[in-house]
Amino acid sequence: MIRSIFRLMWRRKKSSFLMTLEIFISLLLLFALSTMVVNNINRYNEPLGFDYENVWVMEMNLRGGSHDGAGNKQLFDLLVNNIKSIPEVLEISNCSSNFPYDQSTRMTTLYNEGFRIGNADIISTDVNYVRTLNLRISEGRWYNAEDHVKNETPVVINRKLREKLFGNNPAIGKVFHSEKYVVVGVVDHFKIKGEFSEKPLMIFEMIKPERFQSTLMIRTNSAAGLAFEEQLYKLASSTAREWTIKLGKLAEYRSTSFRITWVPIVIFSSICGFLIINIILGLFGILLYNINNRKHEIGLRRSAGANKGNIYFQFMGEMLVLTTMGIAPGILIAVQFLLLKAFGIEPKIFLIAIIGSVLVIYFLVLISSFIPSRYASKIQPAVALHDK
Amino acid sequence: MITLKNLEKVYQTDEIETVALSNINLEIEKGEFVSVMGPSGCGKSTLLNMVGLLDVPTKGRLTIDSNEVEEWPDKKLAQFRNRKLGFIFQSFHLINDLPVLDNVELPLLYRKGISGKERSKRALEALKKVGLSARTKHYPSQLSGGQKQRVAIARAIVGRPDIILADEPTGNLDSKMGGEIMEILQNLNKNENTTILMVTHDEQLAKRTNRIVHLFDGMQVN
Repeated sequence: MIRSIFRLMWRRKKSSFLMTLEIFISLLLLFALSTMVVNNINRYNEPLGFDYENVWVMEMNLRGGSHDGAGNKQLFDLLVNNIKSIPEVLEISNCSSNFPYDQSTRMTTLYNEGFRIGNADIISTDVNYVRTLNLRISEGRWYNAEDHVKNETPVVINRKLREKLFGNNPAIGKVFHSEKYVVVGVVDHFKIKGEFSEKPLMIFEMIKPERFQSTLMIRTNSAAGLAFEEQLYKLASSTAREWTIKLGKLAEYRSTSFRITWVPIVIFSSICGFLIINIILGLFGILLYNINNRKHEIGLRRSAGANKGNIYFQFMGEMLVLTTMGIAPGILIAVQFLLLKAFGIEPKIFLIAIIGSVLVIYFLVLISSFIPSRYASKIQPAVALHDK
Repeated sequence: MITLKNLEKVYQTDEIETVALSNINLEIEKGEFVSVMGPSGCGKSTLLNMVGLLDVPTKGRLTIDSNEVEEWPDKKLAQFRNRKLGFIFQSFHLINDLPVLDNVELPLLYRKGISGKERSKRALEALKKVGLSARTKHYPSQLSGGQKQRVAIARAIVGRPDIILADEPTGNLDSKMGGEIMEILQNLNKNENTTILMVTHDEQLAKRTNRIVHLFDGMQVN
């Protein structure tokens, strides 16, 4: 029976080419969409490595002023002390402008024994950063005030970089990047670009005591709301009159980063949705047209001993075979992405996306074939045989 | 073997009631070759559909092999058609996208417990009987009208049915090919004791059968 359906559909491959092509394209689009969604869900489920709740971000624009000039440094220290005096403030930390969720980036290319191991994100922070964002140290410690006397800059790196640089060997106290950095600690996770980003290679370098950076991260208690924001803004503006202050919550930056990730996916999903509706309607229409053109065949099959169920499964089967003909080359292409580990995405994500897309397409085909196939099974054989 | 008692078929629409068959009483014995004649629209095909269990009578009783079949569910009717009946149509009703062998195998697809190999073997045997064993891989579009009808006969006999119902089997053929088809049917009737009920317009062919039933306006006239 199945062989007969396959043979029938293979003979009709020319007449059903456009539909097969549409199923093929839909599978690829659905596969791309599923990969994006599954990959993002997978990344979202990975540990973020820091706490973003109740953290405020103060960006300071010095209007051309130097970050290591004595006057500005004094003003900065005064500002930090004033902010610390607000009761809601629990921790305050200074860091470079590429704070978590922000789009700005600072990177360096790293080599290990002459081989390029990738680009690492570098963020300059003070000693309080670990407490302000609740970073979890898995090896060694965070840098402290005593570390700045060393020739090398003390750094904390993340586990991914640690594994690339040192493998299973001890990392603490090791120098790297042309002996510029010395490792004092390792954090397991720190996804600087947020939940949906790939795990970066991460370097936290210590800000020299005579310098400061343009961003303050302020952890508060949960009571800090609009009144706190207003108080903080007034305090900063009155302390550093010449500077431009921008204030926001880290959670708001997170929301913006979410939108940047999801808007393209939503647009892509809409395109896929239209295509899928097109497939459902197309299959529905083609099948109804086929059934009306093949009433004689339905009558013949009924006279040869087919019952209503056989006729129903004949047409459902044909649609499933047509779908298989469309998705088979699509699967072959999709599997190449899996084998090549394309875009640095884990093979299991491609596998889930392939299986998911195939199941969705088959499900849609079953839905769109259900009513026409039922209609075919209910055609009276005598009427079908003598239909003009 | 086939008994029709006071059989009636009425087609009812919202406005019109059409009596297709009225008060048909007929008995066909096993191994008989009966032809049904009458003008177009007199109910010949309707009668064949009733006997072929493709349509249900409005009134009356239909018995085949002592089975009263009117109340049977769809599955049982289909199974009975598959095992006991073979159909031949005027317009052949071959599936153009399937080769000859697959067309002939069709009834066996709906019979449980027959392997693909066995199906092919039986289809080939049936094609041999109609003299078309060399055309198994041809498609219907590559065959002449007579050859198509021989394929249709092979399809009708592949399931080794007791009864063949032929609806104007020579209607689309010239007299020579019609004669050949008739010969095949007669051989089946004689050699395999197959009961045949054939609708025809051709009096010469009808005379070659055991008995002729005449219909006019849905009623038996002889």
